[in-house]
Amino acid sequence: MRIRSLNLVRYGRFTDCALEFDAPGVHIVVGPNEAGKSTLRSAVGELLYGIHPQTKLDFLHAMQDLRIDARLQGADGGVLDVVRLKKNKDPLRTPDDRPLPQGTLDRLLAGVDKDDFRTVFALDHEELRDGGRALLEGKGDLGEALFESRSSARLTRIQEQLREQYKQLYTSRGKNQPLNLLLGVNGRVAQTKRERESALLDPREYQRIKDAAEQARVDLDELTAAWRDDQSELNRMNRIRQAYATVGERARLTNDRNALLARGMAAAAHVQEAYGELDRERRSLTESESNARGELDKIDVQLAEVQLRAEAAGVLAGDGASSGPEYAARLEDLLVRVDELRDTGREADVRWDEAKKAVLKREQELARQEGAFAQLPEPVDPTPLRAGLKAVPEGLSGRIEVLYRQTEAAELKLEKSRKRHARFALPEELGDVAEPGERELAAQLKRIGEAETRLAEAARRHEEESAREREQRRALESFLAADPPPSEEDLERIRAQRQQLWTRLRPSLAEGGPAASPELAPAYEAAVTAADETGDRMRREIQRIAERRRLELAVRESADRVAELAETLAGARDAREQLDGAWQRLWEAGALAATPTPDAAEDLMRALAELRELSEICAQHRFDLAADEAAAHMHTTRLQVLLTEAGGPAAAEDLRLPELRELADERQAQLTEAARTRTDATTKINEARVTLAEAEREEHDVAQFVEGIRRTWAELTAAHGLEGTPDAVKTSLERMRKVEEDRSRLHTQREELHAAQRKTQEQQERTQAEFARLLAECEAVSEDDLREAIARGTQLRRIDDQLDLLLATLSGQGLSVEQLEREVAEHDLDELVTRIVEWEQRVGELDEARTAKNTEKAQRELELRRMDGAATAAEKAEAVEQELAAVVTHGQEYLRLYLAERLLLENIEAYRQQHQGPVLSRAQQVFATLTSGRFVQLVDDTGPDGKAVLRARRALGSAPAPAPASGSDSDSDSDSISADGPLVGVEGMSEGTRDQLYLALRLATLERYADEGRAMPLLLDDVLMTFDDARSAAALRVFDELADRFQVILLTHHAHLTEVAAAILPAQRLHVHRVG
Amino acid sequence: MKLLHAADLHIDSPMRGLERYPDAPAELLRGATRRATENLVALARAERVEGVLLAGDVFDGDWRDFETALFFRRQLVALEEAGIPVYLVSGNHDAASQISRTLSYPDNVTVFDTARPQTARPRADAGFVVHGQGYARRDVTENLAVGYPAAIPGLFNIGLLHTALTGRDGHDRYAPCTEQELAALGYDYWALGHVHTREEVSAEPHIVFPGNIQGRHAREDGPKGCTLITVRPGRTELEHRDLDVVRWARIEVDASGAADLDEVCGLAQDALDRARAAAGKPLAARIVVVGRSEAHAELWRERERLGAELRALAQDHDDVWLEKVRAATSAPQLSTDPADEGAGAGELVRGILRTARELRADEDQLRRAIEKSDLWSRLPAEVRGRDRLDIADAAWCGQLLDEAADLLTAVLEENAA
Repeated sequence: MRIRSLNLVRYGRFTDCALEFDAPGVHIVVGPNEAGKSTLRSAVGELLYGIHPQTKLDFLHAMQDLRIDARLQGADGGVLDVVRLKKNKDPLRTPDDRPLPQGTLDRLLAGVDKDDFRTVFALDHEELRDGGRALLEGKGDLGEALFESRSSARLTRIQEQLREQYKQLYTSRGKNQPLNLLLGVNGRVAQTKRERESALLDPREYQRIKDAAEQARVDLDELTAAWRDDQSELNRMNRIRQAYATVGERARLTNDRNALLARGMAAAAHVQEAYGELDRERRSLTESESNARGELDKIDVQLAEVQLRAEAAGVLAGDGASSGPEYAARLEDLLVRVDELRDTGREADVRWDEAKKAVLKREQELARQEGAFAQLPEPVDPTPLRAGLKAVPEGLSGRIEVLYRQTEAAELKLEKSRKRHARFALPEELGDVAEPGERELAAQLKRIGEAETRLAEAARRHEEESAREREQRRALESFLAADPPPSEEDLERIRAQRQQLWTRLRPSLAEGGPAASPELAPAYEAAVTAADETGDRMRREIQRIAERRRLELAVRESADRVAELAETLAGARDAREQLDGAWQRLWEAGALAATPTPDAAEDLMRALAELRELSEICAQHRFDLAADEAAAHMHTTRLQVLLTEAGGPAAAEDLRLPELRELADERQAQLTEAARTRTDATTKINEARVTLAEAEREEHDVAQFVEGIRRTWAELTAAHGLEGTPDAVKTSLERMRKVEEDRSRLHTQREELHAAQRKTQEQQERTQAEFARLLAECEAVSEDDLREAIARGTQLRRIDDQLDLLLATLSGQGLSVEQLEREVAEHDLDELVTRIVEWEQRVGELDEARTAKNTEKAQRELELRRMDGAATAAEKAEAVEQELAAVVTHGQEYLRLYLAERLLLENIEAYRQQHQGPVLSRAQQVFATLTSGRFVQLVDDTGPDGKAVLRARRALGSAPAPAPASGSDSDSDSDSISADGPLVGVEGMSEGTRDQLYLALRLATLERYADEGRAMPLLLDDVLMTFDDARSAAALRVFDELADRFQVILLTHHAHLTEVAAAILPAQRLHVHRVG
Repeated sequence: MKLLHAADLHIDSPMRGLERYPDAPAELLRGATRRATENLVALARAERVEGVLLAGDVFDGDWRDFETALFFRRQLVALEEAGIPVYLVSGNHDAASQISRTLSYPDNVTVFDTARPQTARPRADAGFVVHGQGYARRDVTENLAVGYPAAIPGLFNIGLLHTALTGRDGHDRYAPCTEQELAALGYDYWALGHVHTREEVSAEPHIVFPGNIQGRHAREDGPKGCTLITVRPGRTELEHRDLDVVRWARIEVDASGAADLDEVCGLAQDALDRARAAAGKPLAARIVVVGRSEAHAELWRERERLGAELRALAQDHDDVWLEKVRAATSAPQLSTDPADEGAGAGELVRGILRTARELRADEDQLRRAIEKSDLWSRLPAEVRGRDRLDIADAAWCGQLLDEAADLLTAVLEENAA
């Protein structure tokens, strides 16, 4: 593919920068630095592969305006004009702005993708130097050299990156790389595995501990059984030892008991208790007897004193005893009777005084009430006035007010309605207006509406058809204006003209005919020709004639239709006018000033209905108001009369009903109040009279009662020989009663003491009998004998208690007393003690062993319990898995990077094997030219490590330079020398030569593309910057040679280069373009 | 009547492939198989089942910690306390396990004989009967089912067997038998074990693999649990019940519409959120980014960042552990036709792809290339196997090579840019 022309219409700093690259040879684009050479290089790439979405080249022209035009030529010679835009939709277009599929352009690109184009077909100075350095870094490795010179991509460096990356994950001698930390003997994987292993509980270990626990339990059981046996024996021996003392004590006590019984009878325990009790009782009775006697003496003295007091107080008169209970009862009754009479007399006196006062008070009250009644005015009857007020209807005044306002409002509304409908000039009295009926009116309106619709439709259709006719006429006129074909009429007319001329000419042709006028024959000929031509033309233009006929026919038909529609329209208008007449007639009967239009008819009807309704409302309100006002007047007159009759104030003539009613209400209330006051006064006088009569009766009754009491008192005192006031009588009686009470009390006490003496005597007799019984029971003759028997009994019971205790002690040892006594008898105490000591030691030893075994058993069981299904080992296993997962992750990444490197190396090798021959061969030619023959051959040599290396053979006679210093530009011989000249390795080449070698290899690589028909323009950006003139000239010769296979575009800011080029290249092979 | 059927408990079998990273929810995922077993017991108690059927592989064959057995025993005792009998056949793992041989079982557990089929019934009036035979050794290759007795009329007959039937992917073909052979015995329900993916093989009779109770690695994804059998007059209802405490999920993120890594992360986050919500429990997730994407090269160049970003996103959920992030995208400009390798790419890339194709065609050469790396011989045996660095698997080697080619082309593109 070649670029024939390139126009940076709007791109970067360029505006309409057009460059022609059509001519053969080398194109040099010259511009100073910053002139936009890089932009130009970028432009070619973006022209072919699209403008980058985030391009920075929109600083001058807006993003959406960026545009590159180009004419491209494919390998097959085909030309394609393209426009590249910065657009999302159809960014590739033709010059006339039609979308151009990218595929069309892709066919020209022949499979060279964007990256290939940028790295293979574009080369700048930096890349050239970088390529040269890469050759040096690769130490001439042939594969790498070839591979690196494929493009500007530094693939061997990528390989190094990959290697560096996987070595960061693991190296065989590394320590801190992730995989090194994980793997190995001390790596985290091994470490967590060890932790897991140590946490494992081996089933055999579990079984062992379980068995040991079981064994410990069995051992313990055995030890416990042995210990129990020995302990039992020891217990038995201890029992015998303890029984020794008990058995001896028991024998001694038994002897004591027998001796005691031999001395006499031993009293039983109850005898001892009974004797104690009797003795205590005996002493107590003696004491009681003595006390009673003293008390009796004291009572006798007191009775003598009482007798003296009785004589001083005197005795009641009358029959009966003068002392004793009966006398006491008489005294008591009399005291009660005196008290009653005294109290009743006092109360009666008080009541009599009060009754007398009450009579006086009632007499005064009656006099006061009668005086007040005499002061009251004469009564007036309020009934007529109340009836007059009741006759006034409730709410009459309020209703009049409301009706008045409603009437006013209705009249106002009616007035407004009249004004609103003033346009209809309706009369004041609507009763005269006779409008048409609703249905009749609706029917008429409907007819008018339909007639208008028909009229409008007819007018519309007429208008449309007229327009159509005009249109068709215009079409026909246009047709006729542009050389219209003749019509049948034309032909007829021409033929008629010809016939006419023939008719005129033919007589002259007849023999002896008149001579025709000289112009007739030519005219006839012209007419014949015209007729023929017209006929011919009609045949030729038969289609146009048909068109003309169609147009003419259409015009005629349209005209006919217009005429028909005009008639229809006129008919519709007539019908409409007739309806207007009917409309007028419809309204004539009414008394309206003017006939309404049909449009206003509905409004008028509504206005009439509204006004009628409002008028009716007004009339109703007025009527109601008048009726209520008449009623009010009647009630006013009546109330005035009644009020005067009732003694009320004289009312003004103009008082209205509500005020009059208020006055009447007030007067009625006054009259009612006066009547009530009078009634109350009468009631009070009557009540006072009744009360006075009651008081007088009461006073009389009380006086009778007082008299009765006085009589009774006189009789009572006379009967008992008493005299004096009631209080004095009472005092005497109380004194007598006190003496009698004391005497009675002392007699009672004396009787009680006598009774107590008798009872004591009886008890003493009973005690004596019991004592005798005890003596008999104990076979005693005296109380001393009895006491001794009781002492023996006490001692015997104590011995028995001790014997019981010893027996209980012996019985508690599990054997019968007899057995124990036998065992004691069988054993010697000393021997027994010695044996007990031995057995105690033996039992102690067994107990210790048992305790130790029990501890062991507990430990075993604890160990077993600790094995409760803990997840420690399982958690460690999870930790191992997590570490292994890390190994997998890092390992996979390592292997991925490792394989990526392998792929790259394989690819390098494959490329070398495939392209080494042709590339080296071609590069050798280019290198020889570039070095002006200093190097004649490129050799595939073997390096010290057996790998293929690239070396160049210096031409014989070409002087070797000294060993290269950094940055120097001379070559040294190195490695080997052959008969043809020395071989120089890349390390031995000067920097410039290495660059040349890289350029040679790079250009040689391109040949393959040309061979495959995939040549692309070669963009060389200042690649000769560091070349001297000779090397530049050599390079330019190579470029020129290359230019027939590849389009060569050299970008430079060295104007001098053009001079070098002009000196060595023919003018037709050199094309200089200046930019900036 | 209700029964519970579970298999392949693999108690204390560790979660595989979960590399620890900062803030990974390690505590949440710890002891997952134990907690799933506890869930099984709790479910049996809650549903008041009349029996628990365990179809083998309670333990991992090579696991040697007897604490695991003691844990299992504790669970069996919990069932015993609830009056629930347990029927257990040993599987290939149990046969190989030292711990299963040492464990003494509580009285409610019937461990079926390994020498011959045995029939068990919890009590004389029980409505069901269980026939079973365990594995005497790991590699039982004979058909055990043929020796099972005929069904007992009038009872719900259950066959308990550890088998792969006629074979299942990823599972050794132990105790082989056919559905027809099982059906011929006239049982009502075949409680099978060995296959870790739930499968109702047949409905008449019911032949069921309940799957394992807890997923342990990326291939064991999706819900895991047991089968609750409800026997009603005339019909038997089966219901899967989740027991797993951690759900494994493979989350595919379609990056076709993504322009760069950040957009891929956004899509991945959405997908992760959805997966977590769907699981309703802690998640061990593998994210696989797929599709022809503009972001393809960036994903490979920035693969470390991709992993770090997605792990950071996973931390939005405090119970999601990102097991792996894998870029399986392709470059949008490349032809999808494998035969048209690298069409659309530059010559360099095409060359790389061609070389990769040639290398992959020769499996041995590829394997040797991997083995030649310094690392390979230093890797512990555990990581050189299935689901890990499986050099014996040509597909795994091929995928590694493809990834290497993707990585390399991404670097080449970056370098060219």
